[in-house]
Amino acid sequence: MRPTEKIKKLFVKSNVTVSSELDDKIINDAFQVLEKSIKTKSAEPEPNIWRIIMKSRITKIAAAAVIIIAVLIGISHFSDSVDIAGKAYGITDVPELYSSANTIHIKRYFGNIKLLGEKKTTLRSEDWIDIENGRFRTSGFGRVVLKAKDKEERSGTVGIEFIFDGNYRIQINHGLKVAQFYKLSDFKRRLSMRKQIDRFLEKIFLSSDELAGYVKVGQEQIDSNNFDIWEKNSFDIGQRSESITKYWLSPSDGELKKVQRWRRSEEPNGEWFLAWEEQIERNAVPPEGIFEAVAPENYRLANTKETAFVDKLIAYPIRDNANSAIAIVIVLPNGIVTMGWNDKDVTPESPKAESIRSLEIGGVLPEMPVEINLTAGSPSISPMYTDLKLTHVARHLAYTQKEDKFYEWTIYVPKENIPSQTLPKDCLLNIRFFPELQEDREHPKHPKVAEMSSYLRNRAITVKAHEFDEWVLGAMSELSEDGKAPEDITYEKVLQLAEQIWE
Amino acid sequence: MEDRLLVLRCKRGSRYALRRIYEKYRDYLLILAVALCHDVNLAEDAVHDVFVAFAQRLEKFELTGSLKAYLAACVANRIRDLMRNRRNKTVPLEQNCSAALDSAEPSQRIVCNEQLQQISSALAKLPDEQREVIALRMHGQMRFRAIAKSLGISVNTVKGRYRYGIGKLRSILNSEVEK
Repeated sequence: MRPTEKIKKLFVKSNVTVSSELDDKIINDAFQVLEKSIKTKSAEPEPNIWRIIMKSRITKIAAAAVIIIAVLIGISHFSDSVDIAGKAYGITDVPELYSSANTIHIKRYFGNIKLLGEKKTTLRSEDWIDIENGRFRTSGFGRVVLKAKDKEERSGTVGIEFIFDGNYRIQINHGLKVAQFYKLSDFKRRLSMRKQIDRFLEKIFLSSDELAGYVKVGQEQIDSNNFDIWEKNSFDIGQRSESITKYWLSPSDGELKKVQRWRRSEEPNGEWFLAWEEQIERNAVPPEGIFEAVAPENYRLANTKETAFVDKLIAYPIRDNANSAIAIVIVLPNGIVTMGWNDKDVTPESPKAESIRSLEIGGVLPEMPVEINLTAGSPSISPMYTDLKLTHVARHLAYTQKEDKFYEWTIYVPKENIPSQTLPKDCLLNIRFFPELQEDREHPKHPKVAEMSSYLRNRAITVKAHEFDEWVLGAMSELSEDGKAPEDITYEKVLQLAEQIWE
Repeated sequence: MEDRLLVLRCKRGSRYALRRIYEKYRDYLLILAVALCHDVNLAEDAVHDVFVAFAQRLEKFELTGSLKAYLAACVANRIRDLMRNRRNKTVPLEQNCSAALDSAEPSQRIVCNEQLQQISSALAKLPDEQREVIALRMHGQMRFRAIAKSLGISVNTVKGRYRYGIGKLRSILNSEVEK
């Protein structure tokens, strides 16, 4: 081997493990000087993000191409129509616009909620997502069961609040007046922010798989601004009710003013009622201190920041006492799924782990221990997928080890290439674990077979091709002793593998 | 382009963007620093100082090339200054790393793996100027021209130092294998 190659190899394999103490010190010191410099900052104009994008060489070429195409289209269609007003934003632009916002502020109104020990009422809640700085403050409801001595068991709904300051998350239970701190690992911090944005879009029924079927039905002026009104009807078979979701969207800047969900029962003459309403602001400035992870006065603290529970990516058993545990499920385009999992029987020293280690990317697992298939969920939200039933072919992608646990990363490719780029999040993810080889998979005899079925939205994170490194490799790094993902794992290789299966 | 957007956001006071830059380049810079000075404490100080100085100068900072190369050059410069000031106080890496691995000493905040110890130990036997060029070229993946610019010397001098350094490193690594 040439000396330069040997040296390069040593550098490539070089690794440092850094304590969180050092991270905290460097980051905090850097934050302090950043804040000082911002306070004393001069008022000179800054370049904006658009200018930076436009200054990039690739963008210049792309812009030139766009101009040429635009001129050609303009010449051929000039006599037909001229859109002098520029782009008019439609409902399909909302996910992109709001995912790239600096902040999102949501005011929510719920009708007929009864909190524990209180009367039924209409409630307001307020959420803030600070996408730019990775912080959020959200509120919702949870169910608690109270059992005092010599008293009957009592259950009810309580208000729950989460405040995440970028490092610590505090969970406040307003019913029990208790607060608890969590410190998030780097990966969990990113995952947490990502889920906040996904959840926001899901709550307003605008996740990427739910965009079809909206119709512009009119216009309304609110605070001197024009808003297009978009509507979509849906029918919930489970709840035997019909819903209309209405959006007020500005065609000039894509601002979503409010969202309403109206509902009526299937009964004859069922009357429409407002189920909930959300008012939304994009890029509003959050109030001072809104993201401070502190408990309200007189609340009991279950722990402190110093003793905070560390929230990092770990594998959770798919049911109580199950041997098999899932760390993360990531859905890639074309219905390809990757899952990191472990099993109590597959320890780093076990023969099974040894045989997995010898596999290349795409290798067939020696004893196929996990099966995945996806079936349609609620037809009301994604009627085009009512017949969805995907069976996946499993192949080895990589393995990692951390804290005496062996993680297998399996790639699941649908037997047929599905046309959709993303799977509907309300489809069901069905997973069956076979710790031992089963001869008859349809009628398993082994007592350890574990099955779970869950909505994709609850169990998985859906990512785009360009996000593969951040999420798939990021998750592998988090569950790897040296904090690095295995080498040579790329989205292109996953796609090549899928294409081989589809052939 | 991601780095440019992160820098712009930092300039607007985004702590999240500053954290992203730190997380993105932390390991890369620490490995470079350890390779350059063969001392984990010095490496830790250098990376700390570079990030703090970066945050301090953000207001006037303009990213003209690669942020990774810029930070690498800053680390190399800082290491040079620190080594000049603290040369007599340097603690050998083997002692430092093994102490951390054996006793998990709470004050130890960086632990190096075997490969880093090996390359750092071999590089420590080279003159400073050769070590710097090799580390920036091999780990930093910087072009000779960029190294020359950051060190304020000619490209030919950089190439010469690199060639001599590689030759010596070859004999050092070969002799280690023979032992």
